[in-house]
Amino acid sequence: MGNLGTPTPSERPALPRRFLAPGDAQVVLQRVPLARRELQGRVTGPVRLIQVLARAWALSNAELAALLAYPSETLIPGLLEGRVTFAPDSDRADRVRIMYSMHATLADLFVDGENEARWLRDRLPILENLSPLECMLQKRIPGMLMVQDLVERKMANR
Amino acid sequence: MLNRARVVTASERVSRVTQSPDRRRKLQRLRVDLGDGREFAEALAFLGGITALGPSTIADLARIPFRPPFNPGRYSAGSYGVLYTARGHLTANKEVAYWQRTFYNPPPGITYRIRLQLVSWMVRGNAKDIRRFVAEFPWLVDDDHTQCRDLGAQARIARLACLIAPSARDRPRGTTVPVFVAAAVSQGQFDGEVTFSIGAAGPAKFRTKFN
Repeated sequence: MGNLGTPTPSERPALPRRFLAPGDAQVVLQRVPLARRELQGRVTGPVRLIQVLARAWALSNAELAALLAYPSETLIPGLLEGRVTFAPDSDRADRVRIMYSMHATLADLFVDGENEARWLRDRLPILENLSPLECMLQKRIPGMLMVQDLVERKMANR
Repeated sequence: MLNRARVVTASERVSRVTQSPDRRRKLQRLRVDLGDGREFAEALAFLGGITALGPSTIADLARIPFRPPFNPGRYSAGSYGVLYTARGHLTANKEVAYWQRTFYNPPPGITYRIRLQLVSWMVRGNAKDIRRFVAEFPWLVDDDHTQCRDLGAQARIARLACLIAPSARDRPRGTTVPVFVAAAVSQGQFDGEVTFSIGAAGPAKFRTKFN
C-alpha cells in the first residue's frame, strides 16, 4: 500500500451522486474536474519514504524503477505523486523497508550528507568490485540483502 | 596454550565503537525526513512500528552479537556470537579504524567523515589472560583467524566469560577483550562520539569527542 491511508478531506474526490445519501448532497456541490478526480492521489507516509530515498541517493527514475521492480520508469512519476499504489505485504514494500532502513543508518554514519549518494556509487572489493547501487540493481533482492548486511552490521559495527 | 593461562576474575570497563541504538536513531531520522504529522505515523506503521526499528538501549547493543546469524570474527567462525571489546578507547578506535578502508572507497580529493559512538560496559566473570603468549604464538595477532577461532571455541567450552588478548591493530600494548557470554556485560554507557576520516589513500584517522 504505497498510498497507505485515506485522503485528507480537502484531497478527497467528490463521490458520484449515485453513492450519496440525500443528506450528503451538499458535498457534491464542490465540483472536481473529472481528469483531476481520476488522477488525484495522496502522498502518504510510504510514498514519502520513497521520495526521501530518491533524493538522498540521487536516484534516476530508471534506477528507482529497477530497485522497486517496476517494469518501466514511466511509472515512477505516478508513484512519487501518490497515483500508483502497492500492497504493504508485497515484495515491493519489502524493498522500500530494506532501503529506507539502510538510508537511516547511512544518514547517521555520514557526517556530510551528500557523501551518502556518492558512497552508493563507489566500487567496493567487499561487494565483488561492484558499487552498492550496482550490487542492488544487478543482484536484486540478494544484492539488497548483501548491501544491508554491509551497512547495518559491518559499517555500523554491530 | 589456553591450559597454560591461569584463570583470573575479570571486573573491568571495556569499550567498543559502534553505532548508536537503531530505534532512537531511526525515529529521529524519520522525523527529520517526514516531520511529525500524519505521514510520519503512516510511515512508522508501514516500517513495522517502533519495535521493528531495532534496539533502543546500550544493553540491547551488547546482546546483538549473540543473536543469530552470528558474525564471523577473530574468535568465532560464525557458529556462536562474540562481543568484541577493548581495554581503553584508543585500542577500540584503532581496531575499528583498520576495517574502515574495506567499507569506503572515496574518489580522489574526497574525504568521508564517518560518525560512530564510543560505548562501554562492565564485564565480569572468569577470564584468561593470553597476552604473554603472543611472541610464542604470533597467530594471536595474525590476519588468518583459523587458530584464534579454535582458541575461542575452547574458551567457550571452558565457560570463560572473556579473554584478555593482545590487540592486532594496537601493537604492542593494546588489549582486546572478546566476550563470549552476553550475561557477563552490564552497566552500559555512552562515553563519546568518534569521527573517522577516510580519504582516497592512507589509513583512516579518528578523533574522539568525549561526553
